[in-house]
Amino acid sequence: MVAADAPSTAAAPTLLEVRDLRIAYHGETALQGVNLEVREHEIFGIIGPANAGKTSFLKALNRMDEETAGMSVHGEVVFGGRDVRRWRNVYALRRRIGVVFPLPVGLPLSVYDNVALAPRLAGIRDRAELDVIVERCLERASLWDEVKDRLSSLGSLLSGGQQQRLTIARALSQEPQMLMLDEFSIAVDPVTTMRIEDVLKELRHEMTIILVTNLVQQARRLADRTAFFLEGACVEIGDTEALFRGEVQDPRTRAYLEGRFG
Amino acid sequence: MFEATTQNRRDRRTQTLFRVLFGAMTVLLIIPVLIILGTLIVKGGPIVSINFLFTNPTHGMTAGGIFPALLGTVWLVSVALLASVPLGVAAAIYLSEYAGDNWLTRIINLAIINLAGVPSIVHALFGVGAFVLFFEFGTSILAASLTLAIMTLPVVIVSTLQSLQSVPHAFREACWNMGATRWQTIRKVVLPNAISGILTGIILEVSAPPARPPRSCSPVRCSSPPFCPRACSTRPWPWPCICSWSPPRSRTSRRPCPSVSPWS
Repeated sequence: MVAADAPSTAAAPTLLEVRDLRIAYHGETALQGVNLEVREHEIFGIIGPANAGKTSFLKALNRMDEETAGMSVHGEVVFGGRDVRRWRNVYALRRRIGVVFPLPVGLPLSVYDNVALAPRLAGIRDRAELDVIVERCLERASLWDEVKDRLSSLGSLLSGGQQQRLTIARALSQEPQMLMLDEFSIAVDPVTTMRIEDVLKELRHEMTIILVTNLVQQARRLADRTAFFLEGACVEIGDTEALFRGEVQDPRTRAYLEGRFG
Repeated sequence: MFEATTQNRRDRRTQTLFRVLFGAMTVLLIIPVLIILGTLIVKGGPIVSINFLFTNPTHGMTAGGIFPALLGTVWLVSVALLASVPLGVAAAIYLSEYAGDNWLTRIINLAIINLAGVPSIVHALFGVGAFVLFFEFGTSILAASLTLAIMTLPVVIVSTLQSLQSVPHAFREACWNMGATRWQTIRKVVLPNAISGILTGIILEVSAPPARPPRSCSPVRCSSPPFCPRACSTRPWPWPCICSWSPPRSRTSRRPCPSVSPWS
């Protein structure tokens, strides 16, 4: 259930607009004809079975397709009013978008350095300032209590759930406008998943969140609006509550939501 | 049901036989090493002393110390390292982190593999031609070191490449997604992680050439000065003649090798 205190996003301005997005790997189409928009301060869920093109979609948003060999992207992605391909400084674009991956990645630096990496890259050198940023990000990621006594221990030695929260803390340290989570809970235990979901519900007040998940119930719990991707196409987008009530337009969506495949 | 059948007994015998066989072969391998080490320590041990290390050979190298050879090796290896390590590591970083999968990268890889396969006598001749004659370094430590550097370059590149590629790609992707440039990612995450592997490769490679007499002899012999590094009479510290180029005027006035002691 979407929380009762969720702000109404119907009238919110559009942060991200995607028009006719086509993605191909070495000529083979992975995604085509995607048109959608994501509004500010909403949690936008993307559900769908494997190989539907959900991860490729995320990659196209922050131009990570340029780092992948053989991936070609056509169409328009407008982020914050500007076409993403026209941003000359792709690093500035990526700094505005935080990403959380399916497999937890704790960089082989100390926990402190993990979270301080983005601010340091942005030029902040003052130790006191970095301390404040690190503590704030770890607090918001619900990890501070567990690591506050071992900030200098290696980030890659934390448990999976802790590493995933560390990834979120790292993403938060960038002060992003948008946070993209790609199936963040598949390698994480249920308790940590619930904690992270609570974190996301808090974070929606400050940023926009795109949540790709293969857990239909997770989308139901968190997302305001949900898109259903199937075999390289965006089949349907709608208000989450409405979709789960049965007001779907496409029979395939209904079949997926009812668990008949996926 | 659990009693040993004839088949079981045969299997167990075969198993024991092979275990003993392989164990024996391993022991056979170790015996020569032990003999060599033992002879070295027993026969050579009493002779090694500070005096031995720091005096010159006398009587046509049948008595005295090994100082010039020691010094020469130190110089040789240091300069070779200085020349090959930065170049090799930089090349490996380029190939691992920046290079795309195109024809240029393939040519570079081919060149490195070929360089590794060149026989050392060809390296020696190249060293003589390029460093001793063309650049006019003369027969000097510099020429020998540079030749050695070229010999060790492919191994440094390959071992650095392997260390860099053993860093999981997920780390790099995480950094790129954060807006870090390639160099920032390399500097902050990839290199620190790979540095121990890189250093191991360098140490292993560097210890090998000077200790491989038949193979490395020719490059070193052809391009380096006779066993006694000439001390420049104008310098107090035992600098060997790094470069035997000198202005024409003083060429005839060089002192012959054996009478110059490094400390004079």
